Amino acid sequence: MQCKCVFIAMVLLVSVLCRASDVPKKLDTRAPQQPQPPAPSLALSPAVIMVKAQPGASSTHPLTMTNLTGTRFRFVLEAFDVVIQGGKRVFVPAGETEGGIARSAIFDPPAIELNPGESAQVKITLTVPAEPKVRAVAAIFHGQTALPGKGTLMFTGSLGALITYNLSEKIAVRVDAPAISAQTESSNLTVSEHLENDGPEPVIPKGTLAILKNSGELVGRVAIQPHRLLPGEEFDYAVEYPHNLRPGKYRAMVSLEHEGGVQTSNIEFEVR
Amino acid sequence: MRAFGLVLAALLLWSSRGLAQTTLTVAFISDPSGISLSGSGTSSASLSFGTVQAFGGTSPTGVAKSVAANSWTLSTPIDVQVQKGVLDLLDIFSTSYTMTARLQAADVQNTWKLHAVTLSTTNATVTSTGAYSSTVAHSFSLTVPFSASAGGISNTINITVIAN
Repeated sequence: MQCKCVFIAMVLLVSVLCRASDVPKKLDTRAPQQPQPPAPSLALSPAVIMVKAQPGASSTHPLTMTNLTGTRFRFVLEAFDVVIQGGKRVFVPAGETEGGIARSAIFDPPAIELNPGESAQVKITLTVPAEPKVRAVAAIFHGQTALPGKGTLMFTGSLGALITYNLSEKIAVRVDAPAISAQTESSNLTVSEHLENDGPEPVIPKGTLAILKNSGELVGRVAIQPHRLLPGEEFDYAVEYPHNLRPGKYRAMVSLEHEGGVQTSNIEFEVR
Repeated sequence: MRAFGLVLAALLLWSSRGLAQTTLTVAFISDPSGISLSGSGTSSASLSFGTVQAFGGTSPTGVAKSVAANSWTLSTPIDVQVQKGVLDLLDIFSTSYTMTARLQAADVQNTWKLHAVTLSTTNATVTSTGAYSSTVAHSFSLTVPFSASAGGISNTINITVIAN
């Protein structure tokens, strides 16, 4: 509890620090996004589970599905291995991946039916094989309910929980050199970078973009949102600096923090 | 004092959930420029093109028709909204979602698409960087070859959302 209070305080502190700047923010000409009321939909909790384990270990995780619609829903549970192909996630049915974890999935119960307003808990038990080749499983509640009637097309929603596995302390993230998109009359300065999880374990890099003057004086900082990367997964992030920079020479410094440490890169640029 | 109590209750509730407790919800919504969905705003919706034909006739409001050399296509935008639970604003570990889609029944004659993704009975990724809480329009299209005989066409698209 105490740790979490400290964590909240740190998050608030970082968010305050990230507002530092020398020039007022550019006017945002986009239409403001109105908060939307929650739809009468299906809800799954938790939707992400992060497990630290060893090969051969079994673990059981409760998943709760809630039917907030006015329709009775039936779900069948299925497990998929999440593998990376071409830097992107692909959901492979259980048993089709060598060294997969999904083939061990046991759902209790394997299917549920929920009346409007009802919740039900399903327990999934997974066993990591002796030589695992994947680090994530998607446990999907496949909706089997279509609206009654003779429509051309019915849409049925399904929700899936992502279960990730960290089986060792080996972390490696490849960070390419940052690139700059210069600020213009209508757009802010953007710093982008390509990331790839080169290691065998999932990782969640997060960090900070700092803009420094040539003298080294801090101009401002922007938080880089965390982004989960499974082994082999790639991601291009782009961070917008939301303030106008006066003409001059600057350095953009990117610090990415993850389970394996901190990686820093920087690039110099000039605003004319 | 009451405010302090509320804050304390919220913190206790949050602390009991664990950092990775993301709650996901999904709903289908009629797009303002698309066909009206029956069941709009919920997790199970349907649409009907009614009786349409390749040449002549009329299409339902919000449905575009195009005719090619060997086939014709009906298309309309459909909105999908995915949200995280209110208490999960502090959850910093899942900042986007993956959306996959698949047909419930195989169709070897007609082509069903969401954006450029051709749907089959195997899950295909429609987006891997979906943004929470925004209503996203997805272009749905159904292409029917001229070789098809007249008759009813129906199927179910199963949309699956998984937190990233």
